[in-house]
Amino acid sequence: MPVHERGYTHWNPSGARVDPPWLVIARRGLAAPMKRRWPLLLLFAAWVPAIVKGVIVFVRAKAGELMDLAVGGDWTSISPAGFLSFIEGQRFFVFLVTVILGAALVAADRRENGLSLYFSRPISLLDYLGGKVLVVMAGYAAVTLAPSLLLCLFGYLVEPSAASLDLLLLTPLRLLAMTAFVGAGLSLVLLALSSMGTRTVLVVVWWAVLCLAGDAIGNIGDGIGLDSFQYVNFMGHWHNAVSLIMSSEARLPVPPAVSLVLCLALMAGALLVLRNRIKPVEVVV
Amino acid sequence: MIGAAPVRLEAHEVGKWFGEVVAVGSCSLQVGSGVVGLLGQNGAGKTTLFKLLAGLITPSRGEVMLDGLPLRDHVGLFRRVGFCPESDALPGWLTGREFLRMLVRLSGVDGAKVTGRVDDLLERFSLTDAANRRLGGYSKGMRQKLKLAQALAHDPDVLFMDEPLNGMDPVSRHHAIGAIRQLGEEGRTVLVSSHILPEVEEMTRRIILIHRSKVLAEGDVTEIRDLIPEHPTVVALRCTNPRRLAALLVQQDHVMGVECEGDDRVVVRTEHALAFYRALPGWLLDAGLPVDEIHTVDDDLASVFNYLTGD
Amino acid sequence: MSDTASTIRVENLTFAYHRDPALRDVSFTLEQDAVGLLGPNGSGKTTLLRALLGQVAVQPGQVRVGELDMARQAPEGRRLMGWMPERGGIIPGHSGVGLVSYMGELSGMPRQDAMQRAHEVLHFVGLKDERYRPCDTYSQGMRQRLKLACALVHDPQWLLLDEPTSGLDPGGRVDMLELVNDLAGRKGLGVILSTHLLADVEATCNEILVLREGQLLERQPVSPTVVGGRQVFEIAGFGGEEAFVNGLRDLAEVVEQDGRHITAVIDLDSLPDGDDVPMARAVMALLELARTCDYAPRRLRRRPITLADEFYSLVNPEGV
Repeated sequence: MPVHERGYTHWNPSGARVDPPWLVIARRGLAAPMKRRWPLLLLFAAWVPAIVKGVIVFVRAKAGELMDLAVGGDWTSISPAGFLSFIEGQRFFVFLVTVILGAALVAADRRENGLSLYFSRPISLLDYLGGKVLVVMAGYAAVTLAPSLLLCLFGYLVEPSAASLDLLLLTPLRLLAMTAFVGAGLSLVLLALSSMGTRTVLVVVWWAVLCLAGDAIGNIGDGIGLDSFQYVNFMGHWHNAVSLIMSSEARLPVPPAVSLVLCLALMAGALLVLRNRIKPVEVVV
Repeated sequence: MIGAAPVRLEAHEVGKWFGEVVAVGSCSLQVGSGVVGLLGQNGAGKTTLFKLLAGLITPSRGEVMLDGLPLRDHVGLFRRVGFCPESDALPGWLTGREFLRMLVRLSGVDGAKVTGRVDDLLERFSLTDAANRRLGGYSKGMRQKLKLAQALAHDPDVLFMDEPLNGMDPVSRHHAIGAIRQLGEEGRTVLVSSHILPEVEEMTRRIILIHRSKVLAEGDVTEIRDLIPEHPTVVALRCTNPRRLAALLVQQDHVMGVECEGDDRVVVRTEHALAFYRALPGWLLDAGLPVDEIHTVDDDLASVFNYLTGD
Repeated sequence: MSDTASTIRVENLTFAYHRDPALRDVSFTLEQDAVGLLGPNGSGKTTLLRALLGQVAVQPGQVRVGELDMARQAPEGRRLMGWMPERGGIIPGHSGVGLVSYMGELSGMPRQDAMQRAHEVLHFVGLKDERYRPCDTYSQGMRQRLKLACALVHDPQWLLLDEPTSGLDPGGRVDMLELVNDLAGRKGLGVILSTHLLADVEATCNEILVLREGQLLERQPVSPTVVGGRQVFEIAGFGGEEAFVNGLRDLAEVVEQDGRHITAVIDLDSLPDGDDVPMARAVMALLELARTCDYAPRRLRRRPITLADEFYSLVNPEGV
């Protein structure tokens, strides 16, 4: 036809690859913050401790026994426990990254009845949650798992030996398992918070309370000699729960098994909240 | 003046601006009794003018007067004004009856008459069955009806209604339109702001059209139409044999152009509408050409609105 | 009657929220058509739309779109449906084109297809440069267009529209109804329009489905043809009005006057016989009277709002 239809036309599928819905959702969730400058700056800043640790590892390897005890202790060690310590130390960056990526994830969708748009599409609740969880987990991994894995490799290269072969296999596997568990757990709780309202500000506040205040209260408890304060230490519980995987001693004066149960309960609770809040369509009477 | 004497509501060169943005330029109106529609595109200043006339915001210049007294200065005047807003903020924990009772008593109605007035209002808007349910459980249409009822709680002379039929189902709309018409016939001044032109047309023939922050037209729709010179009158005639009718008409004086539309309509354009209408019955009867209907296409509210705001 | 790929077949649809019956034994079949869905609040309209989208599990009953059973094959079925909700329906933080392409991708379109098609449908609905702005900054008119674009991006066979003209000014209403007409009439999409505005239904739909308290009351075409009986005429004009109205009282059963507008009820069956159809004879009689009285009619027609009359008689007012 010399003159083509100028109005509404039908879709001619190109036959290109179609991504599964959860991947589409995850990609979109990550794309938005990445467009602005300061999340990237934050990412760089989050890697600084890793770089510092790398330098110390390097220096210690080259300087030998002289520097063995002096610097940093557990945090700078390249044992699994040392990595757990390192990741614990990243908690402020973890808070920032997760809140930037995740606070608005569900709240924005709920604000203007956006959920009904999602669920008029061929996607399931699993797709939706899976994609959203992946967004937060990706952020979490970027400031914990990624630098740790690179440090593993670096640590091996600095001092290649039979003993440090662990760094190439076992330790990375442990790290993977650990961050998968903690990442999933944190994501679910954050998303559950995000799904409870439509205002991002409240989510940020609650997440700050959970992540940072809990830790502070725990420290106060330590200071005055009351161990029970540590039960409020939200972040601490997650690290405590995985301390066994990382062959580390308990991170809190609380048995790791108790922390594990608590964390599993939190995940279950978060899932229940999410299932309840993300109903496919709001019922209009 | 729009509406029947006496003049109730007056605006003297009223204007309102927010910083650099002029929402309403200089505007002067006199509104009498009856129902008047307030129309305008989004962003034309309709909502601001509405709020100015209702006394909800202060004009940047000029003043709004109710029965000769400036509205903002005399708080007592608000007793004569009823307002049915677009927004939905009703106290969810009260029942319909409790809510209306409260408002009726607040407006100073005698204790003994309160129950009677409340029952009247509930019945007028078909809310008697739901009267004892909490407002939180009302559907959108019921909330809307309650808003109309509360506007009448104190028997005001002047009513302001912003999209009064919002959320109502077709039957309720029909009743509400009838109720609003009746309020106008009772001698009240009812100013209705709405976008749904077919419904405004059912309520009243009198409109105020605001466009680009100014009152562009006011009065009877038909009179306004007659005053728009750039658009010749378009008349549609439905008949079984449009070609014959077209052939007849194109020969006549006063006819500018003739079009056949579909297989049952002839559309005629004329610059001398009155002369055309006068002569048309004669032409048709003499030629023995029956028609099913004569319809001036563009003197309805939607067309007038379009002509005035389109270009 | 065989079902095409886009036939909607609803059989004995029943659904209850916690023992509260929202839908009771609703059955109908729709081919590609523009259908108005009417009913009071709480009549089950929203539930029906949700059932068509496969969002509620119905028991007993069945909803089929073409060959697909929406209870079991909801994802495939949803590819064929475009949904435009009444409230909200956008996701803040996305640009217009970003949101539409996102929805396209979620409906199973490859990324490039979704982006290209997003631009095409945005042109169709009339959003120009604003498509690059965040959609939370949009005016109501732009929002409604954006929502329509989201519903169209994946080239559905059915459009489910919930109050599409909500909040639009008169110009916006006209534009939206024109778009819907274009889609239903010329582009072969089926449209189900759920609304309270009869004027919208008259402008776009061929049929109406009326729900009341969860049951399907009636299904009928929008403009039945007039053959005889009592008809209401609207007359308006200039000149010898008084004489005309007096003469009218002989011709019509009831005559009412409101300013310059005259309403007359004429029983077509009572007119003297003639060659033409009763409508034409009635009109000619009125024209004869007008000529005699020197009355110039500018409007002379059967009152066109018959949809409202039929609707009101169906849905018992006392029960609302």
